[in-house]
Amino acid sequence: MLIGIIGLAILLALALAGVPLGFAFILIGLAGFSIVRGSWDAGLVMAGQQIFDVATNANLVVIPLFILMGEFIHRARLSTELYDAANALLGHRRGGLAMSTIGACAGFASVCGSSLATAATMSKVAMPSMRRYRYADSLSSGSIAAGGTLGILIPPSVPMVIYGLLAEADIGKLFIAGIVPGVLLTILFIAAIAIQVRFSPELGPPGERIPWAARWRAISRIWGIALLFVVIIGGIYFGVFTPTEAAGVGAAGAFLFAITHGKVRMAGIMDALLDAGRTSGMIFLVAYGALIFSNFINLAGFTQAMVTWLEGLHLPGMGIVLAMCFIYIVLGCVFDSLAMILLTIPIFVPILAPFNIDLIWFGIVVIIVVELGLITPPIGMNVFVVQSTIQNVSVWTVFRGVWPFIVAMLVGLALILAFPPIATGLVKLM
Amino acid sequence: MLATLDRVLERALSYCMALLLFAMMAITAVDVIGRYFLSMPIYGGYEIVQFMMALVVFCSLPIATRHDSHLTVSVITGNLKGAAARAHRLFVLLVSLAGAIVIAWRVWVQADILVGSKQISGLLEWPLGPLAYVMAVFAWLTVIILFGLLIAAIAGREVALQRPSLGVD
Repeated sequence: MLIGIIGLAILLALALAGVPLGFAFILIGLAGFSIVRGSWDAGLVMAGQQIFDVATNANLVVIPLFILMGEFIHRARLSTELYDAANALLGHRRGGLAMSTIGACAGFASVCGSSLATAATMSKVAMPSMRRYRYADSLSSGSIAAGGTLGILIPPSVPMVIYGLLAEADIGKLFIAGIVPGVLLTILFIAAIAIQVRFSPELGPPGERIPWAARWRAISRIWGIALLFVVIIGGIYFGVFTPTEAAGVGAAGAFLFAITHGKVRMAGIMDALLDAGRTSGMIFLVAYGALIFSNFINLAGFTQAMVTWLEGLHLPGMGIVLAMCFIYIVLGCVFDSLAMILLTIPIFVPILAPFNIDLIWFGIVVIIVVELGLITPPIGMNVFVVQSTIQNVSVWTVFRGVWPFIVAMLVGLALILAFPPIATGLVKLM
Repeated sequence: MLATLDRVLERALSYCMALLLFAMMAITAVDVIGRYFLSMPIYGGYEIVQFMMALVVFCSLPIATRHDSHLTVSVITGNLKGAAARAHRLFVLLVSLAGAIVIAWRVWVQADILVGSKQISGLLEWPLGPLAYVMAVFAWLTVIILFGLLIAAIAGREVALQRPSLGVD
């Protein structure tokens, strides 16, 4: 137990000192495991075995493939069309351009597994037109940063795959479970904008009203994204594809779309492949590390001690989940989403095991609290991405614009905590 | 001389990774289409993709290391300057080097174990040992790169961190 706590403390210290997380995990996990077992040989063999197993784990093939799909989509410039379509529907309302931003983010999220990519892409597309209509910078940048978080809740989602790996939860089910909460958060975000402009109309003046014929034209242009989403998620839902196959088909579809429709040339394709490969390698490095580290934490009896302690408190399972949410919100001040999931899930999931918590539902809860971390100060990664993509806006302006969305997110989180079927309902129908 | 080697290596690794990743996508997609529409899946396609993934993620290790793009929490240390920044860089490189050595060494030993126990893949019955050796080679390359970065940092030389593009951006 004590050695587990020491290991965790050194790990946090190394991480905060800026050591690449993967290397820190591997070294601490290896040392801790060997000390507890009293044999370096045992630890070394475990480490080698674990690294090889993760690198060749068939379930993880989805990670590089979904990342690649996102890279192609990102380069195919579909984002402009998504924004135009959302704008055609919502733009004429007060605050409508910001609402369109949320809608377009949700659409983009349905074919992209990353929050940062969603926020970065949408900053470039949505910000100029909101500036043109004299939207307050706080509202426009805040809605992009918040909308970006939908990237990891609406499937496909790379953090969900990582969660599935660590919690041994079904990745396909996690994806399906993310759909309704994703739509719910989209609606709550739009409501948050509506309420804001109701009280301060000067934040977001209405745009032009577009005739219905033009609206349909704009909407019909997003068939590519709609088709990809339906094929991938529909395929998983109806059991036509495994998540891996869906990712392969999705990436190939996005590739074809990028070269035909998006006019992406050889250089762009190469860049997409390189970025996707590099991101995958980075994720795998932390994944080997997280598993080696979790072997150590479990062997050290840390998990068992926590479970015994929690059982002694006679808390209901929900109380423990709430406490965990609180820990995430605190950690979110310092760590980014992937780091948080990797650090906590190997510890939290075994603790939850005796309490009969649905791990699919818990996965969605985790994704939402992790998303909160992406937009709350001091380290809201999405906020930084938005701030660095658009010009002349201070981080504080974005943070000021983001707080109504934080409230909306907390409402969404409370709803999902209170009514688990919001997440698990669709899964049960599978 | 070193700079040329650096560039050539970078290109070779990048092309290798890109090609493998593209092949992973193509094989998975063709396998699915073949199975559903032509009832002719690629025999063992699933396993081939699995092996390719192992190569992609290990191939990206030296590339990511060269470009300092590993997942890092830089809240506290992002704004260090002067001697503190240099000491910090040395510390980070040293710990990373230790981590990379563990990976390279243990994956190599794992390859020995796989060869020794004649492990083969489930369907295609390909030997797993050689795959692990190639992975280990990529990992050793990472060690060499970290060593180079460490030497450069000790000598106080800045190492250019160009974007890992193939110069066709």
